[in-house]
Amino acid sequence: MALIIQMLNALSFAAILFLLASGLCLMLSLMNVVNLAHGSLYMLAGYIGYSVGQWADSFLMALVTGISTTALISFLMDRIFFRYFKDHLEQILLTFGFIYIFQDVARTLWHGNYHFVSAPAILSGSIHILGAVFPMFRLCVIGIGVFVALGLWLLQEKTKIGALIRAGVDDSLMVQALGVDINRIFTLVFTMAGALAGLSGVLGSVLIGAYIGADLDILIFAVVVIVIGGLGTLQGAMVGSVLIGFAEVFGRAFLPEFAHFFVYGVMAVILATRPSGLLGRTS
Amino acid sequence: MKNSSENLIVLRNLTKKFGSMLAVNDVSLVIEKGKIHTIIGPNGAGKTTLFNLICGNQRCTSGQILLLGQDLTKLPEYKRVRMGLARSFQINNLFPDFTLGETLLLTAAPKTVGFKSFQIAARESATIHGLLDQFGLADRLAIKTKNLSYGEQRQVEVILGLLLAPKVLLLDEPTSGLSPAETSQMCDIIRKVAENLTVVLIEHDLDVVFQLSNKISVMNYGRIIYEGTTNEVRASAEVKEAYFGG
Amino acid sequence: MKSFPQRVNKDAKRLVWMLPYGLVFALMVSIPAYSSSYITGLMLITLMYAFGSMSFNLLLGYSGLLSFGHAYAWGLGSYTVGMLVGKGITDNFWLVLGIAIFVTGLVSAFFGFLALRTHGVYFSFITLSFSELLRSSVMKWTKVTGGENGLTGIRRPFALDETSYYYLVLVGFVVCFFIMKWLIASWFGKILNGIRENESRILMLGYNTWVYKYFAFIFAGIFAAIGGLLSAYYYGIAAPDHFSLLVTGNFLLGTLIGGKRTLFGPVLGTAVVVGSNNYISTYTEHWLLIEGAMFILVVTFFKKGIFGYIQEWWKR
Repeated sequence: MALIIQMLNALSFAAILFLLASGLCLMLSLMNVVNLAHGSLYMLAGYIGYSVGQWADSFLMALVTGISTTALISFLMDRIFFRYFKDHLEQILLTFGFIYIFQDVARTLWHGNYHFVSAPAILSGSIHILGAVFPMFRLCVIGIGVFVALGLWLLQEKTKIGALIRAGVDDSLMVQALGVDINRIFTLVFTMAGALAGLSGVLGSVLIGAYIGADLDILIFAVVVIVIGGLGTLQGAMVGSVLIGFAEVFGRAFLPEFAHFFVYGVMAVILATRPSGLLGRTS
Repeated sequence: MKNSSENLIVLRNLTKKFGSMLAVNDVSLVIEKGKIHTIIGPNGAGKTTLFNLICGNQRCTSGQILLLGQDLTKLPEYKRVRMGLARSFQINNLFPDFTLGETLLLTAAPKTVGFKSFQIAARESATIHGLLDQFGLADRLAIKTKNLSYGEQRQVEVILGLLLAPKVLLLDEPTSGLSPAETSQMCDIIRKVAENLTVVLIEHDLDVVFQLSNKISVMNYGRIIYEGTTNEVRASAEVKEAYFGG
Repeated sequence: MKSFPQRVNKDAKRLVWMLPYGLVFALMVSIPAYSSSYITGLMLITLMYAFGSMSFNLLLGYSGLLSFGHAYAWGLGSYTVGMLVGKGITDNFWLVLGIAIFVTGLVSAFFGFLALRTHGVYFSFITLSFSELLRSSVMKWTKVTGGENGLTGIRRPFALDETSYYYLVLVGFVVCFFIMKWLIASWFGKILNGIRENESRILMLGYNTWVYKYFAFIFAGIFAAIGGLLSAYYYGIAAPDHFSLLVTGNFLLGTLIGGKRTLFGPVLGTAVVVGSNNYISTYTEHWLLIEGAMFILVVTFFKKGIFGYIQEWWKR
């Protein structure tokens, strides 16, 4: 029974991770953009979700506000900055700066306190299946994760937009010559990634909470997910999220003193044996 | 089947897949010692990919690469270089901020880890001078690579290969972008160089190809579609079709 | 006709370049005598952080490796002091220094081996996960590492006062500076440069680039650890923050502002960062905001760094 609870925890954590890592991964593999501030979006969404949730006494409002804010920030970052900075090092430095700025904003507005977003009333109970008790909210989070995963996969593989994006990265001049405004598509992907980060942040802040340092903590996890899952593949991010979700939750259960050791252990093993990740491509 | 000691490079069923695309499709090839062997074919035929596979810049999907009987297939590129393979690149692949002199020193130096000062022995110095004189670059030593002319950079690509004193030199379109005078000079040098080592060439300029080659392999869509001497290739209907046909 | 190595070697110019170093050194030596202890303190902090920035630049500017986790070594140096001196195990400065170098060398060898399996952005990410691993470990392992509060009770080596400690750090800095200078000018350094300029070409010249990057990583780690060690002695504390990304960020910003193509650039840049930090923090709490803005401004307008622009101007 406790095992099932832990498994649920692992899967819901994996869902949160995936929502964040997928955005990072999309930006990296599809658009060749490095955005270190992605974790900061998570943190901001969590804090905003908390404040709005408190003020409006509505989880839905919290969710919507959180997601729109991060989507907007992503949109602006693309329009103002990423359009002009195409070099990886420049993007790294830029987004590094944003991490600092967002941290300052968070400290100023929320004083670095630890806050949780309250789950919506209808989802705060549990459901009973076959004599086992499953917290509703966690099930929902897992459901959302799966839904988004499917949606993204379909987008990438099956739609014209997905193909355009992939083509646009390889040969943006060509795509533009075909009359497609590649910048608009990139902005779309960016905004979507931002929205996903917001979703991850609000949902995550129900389970884990929002705090100063959450930006870096979750960024590290997302990064590990991408690296071990397979450099830059969406499927890799899915596999990686699940793996890390389990590693972290079960690791914490067995060896609480050695925080994240299982996670890093998994990463070390995979790096040592398959440096391009489990599902990554070797050239 | 020729005596294998005359075969410098043997490729067996070499294949390279990118996803579902076959860049190199089941290529088997023999490069004989002391010959100038040219690979020609329309754009996208897979010639540069083949070079990448031979030199180790890319891993093959399947197949085998042998150098003088030794299996290179799993070796990383720097090990293949140490075993006697050297190449020049189709697109200039040099060090923009290094001077010509520094680039040459780096190339000619012994390849083990060490903290010795940046100097080389006098013997190697003479070799470098000789090459520079041949190419007419003797007074350009202090110039940064990015400030050399395109033609000069092309020449440096070839010089680097030569400096490595290889058993076989792979040149990827050495004359591309060169003026007729520079092209003629490059051909003379290649001919001279081939007296002492084996040369494998990728070339588009058919005049150069027919002038220099002992043997020609024609590639299209990742396969070798024809192989023969200059005259045979000239006369071949298949080759004509590959280049000019539908 | 001159022989080939002579034409490439720039030995003759060496004497000319010694002059600025001599002047700067004289300046730094005389600081405690002529300026307030505030300025001396700032110089001290700059010199300590310069260990971090210079070693960071050994990786970034000279080898082309951007390591987000460089603070891992800083923290290791700092915690070696914390665990040996803070816990009263030994007071011997040289022993502590030796152990810090040894431990960091081992850890660098392990981390470097794993990190160098990846390239580009992923390398940066992996190194970040290393520093974070150490940070969360020392935070949780309260019994041994003091947890969130870190380790204190660290007395200065040889019971030095602030001014004398400044001289100790200055001497250490000069020694390490010249070691690094020699490293970069050596064969090893030239190949690192080549790797940064064009790794695929270097591979095709027959060099096993991995070995060079690996040793650079280890050296950089050791130098940063020395800086961390000195800072633990100075501040009297080893804290989990010493492993933080923000520490690496300071190294990065310092390197950029000063210029990543030279050895002294990061030192100058670090001075700017340390100075700004101290000055601005007296007026506002929002140092993070300012530092973030500095990153953005530097990458937008000032990419070559101070020395970068000086070099360009020199060539005109």
